[in-house]
Amino acid sequence: MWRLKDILLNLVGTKCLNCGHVFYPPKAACPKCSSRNVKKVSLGTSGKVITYTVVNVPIEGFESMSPLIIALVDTGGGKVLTQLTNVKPDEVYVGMEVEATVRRSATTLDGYVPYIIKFKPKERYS
Amino acid sequence: MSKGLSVGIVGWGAYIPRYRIKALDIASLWGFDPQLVKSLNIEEKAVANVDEDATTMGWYAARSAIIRAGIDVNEIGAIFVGTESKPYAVKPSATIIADALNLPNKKLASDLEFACRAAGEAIRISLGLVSSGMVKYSLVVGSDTAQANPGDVLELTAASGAAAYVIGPKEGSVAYFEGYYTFISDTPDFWRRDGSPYPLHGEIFTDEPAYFTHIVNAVKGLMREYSFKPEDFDYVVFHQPNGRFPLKVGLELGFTEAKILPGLLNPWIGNTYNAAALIGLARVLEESRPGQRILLATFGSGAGSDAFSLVVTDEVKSKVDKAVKVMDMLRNKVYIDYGRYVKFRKLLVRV
Repeated sequence: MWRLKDILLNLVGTKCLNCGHVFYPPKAACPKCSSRNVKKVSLGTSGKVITYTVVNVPIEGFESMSPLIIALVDTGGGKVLTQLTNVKPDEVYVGMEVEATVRRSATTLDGYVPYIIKFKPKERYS
Repeated sequence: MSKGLSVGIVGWGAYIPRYRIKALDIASLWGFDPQLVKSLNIEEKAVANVDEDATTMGWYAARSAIIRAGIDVNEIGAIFVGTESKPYAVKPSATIIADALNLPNKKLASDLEFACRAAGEAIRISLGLVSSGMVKYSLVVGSDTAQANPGDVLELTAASGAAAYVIGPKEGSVAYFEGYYTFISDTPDFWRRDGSPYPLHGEIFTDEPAYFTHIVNAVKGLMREYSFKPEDFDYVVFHQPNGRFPLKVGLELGFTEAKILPGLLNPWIGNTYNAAALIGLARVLEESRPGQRILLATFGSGAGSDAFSLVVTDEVKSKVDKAVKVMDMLRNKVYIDYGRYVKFRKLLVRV
């Protein structure tokens, strides 16, 4: 987990300098054109839900977060498969504006607490 | 008057989780007299979600503070996290928050513990670091998911929240420090032993010998040392373990209710421990006008209090709207019942 902290905490993806495709999580080669000419890019901190699914029976360790809402979010800078938080399944909709926030994921078997980026509904303020 | 400090608050941020539980719901479940809730002046408290803790809330508040500060994060030379609910007994939250904010690796970083006062101590340390030129900016975070034994009277108020401040040079600050005074003594009013999930408190011992004695001495010390009078201050913000103590101590020190109430948030969010006084200060900064003087007095069991005098500058107006405001977070709330509260705060352990 520690080796992934840039990806998990800062939404760092990769951009292909050959075809321009942006992908997350980062890869050494572009999944579209196979070019290794890629560079790390920041994906941004807000976006819109493209699609989502609800997991009512999660794998062991995630029970307290059930139901899990897993969404594909377009940040403008790229697409991120992520967990939504601070929202109930019946409140989510395609096109919902969301923003990135740091949250806990399930504690590992040896007690490590992974912190990751999740998305929550974008709040409107005065 | 400022004794050559030349240090100020450059940016501030707060975080209040969106979930709330009514104090009367807790009282009703455990059979407390509703009059007790009334006497504590507590309506409801903020509850962190199941995936939130002192580190995640501290990150959010710190991000807002840095956005408001508008500084290059590479110039932040220190980060301190004041908390008594850190996720790890051994492993700093400061480094997790720093990495998640992309702060430079070359900096001082530490979690501080002094019950609810650790973040106040972090401000004192930061005054020294910035005024000596050892660092340009210091990031102070106060964040807690306050623990309370189910059924303990503490459960009516123990809440979750965070606040963060970028401390830096007086020039460009939103409020500069004029003076400070700290008063501490060995007072066993509230403690949590190693391995214990919940704190214990010495009932009546927590008010006069602890909260009131230390805050009164710190504030009177500040007044004496810097020749202040109560009427010199436009706002006063105290640590707020409940909604009653800050009003009582403020009136005892000669301040009017009108100066205390703007920074008194406990009745609507509860006691956020290390964030309690600092969220109150954030709220006051967001409505203050340049030239106004603020008194901040923290308190932590064990026990100690820091009193600070701050003067608001013209910069405050341009910073307020750059990040989420305390009043917006107070309004953005969803009520939960005791069952969800138990789930969110992990009071039931699955086996």
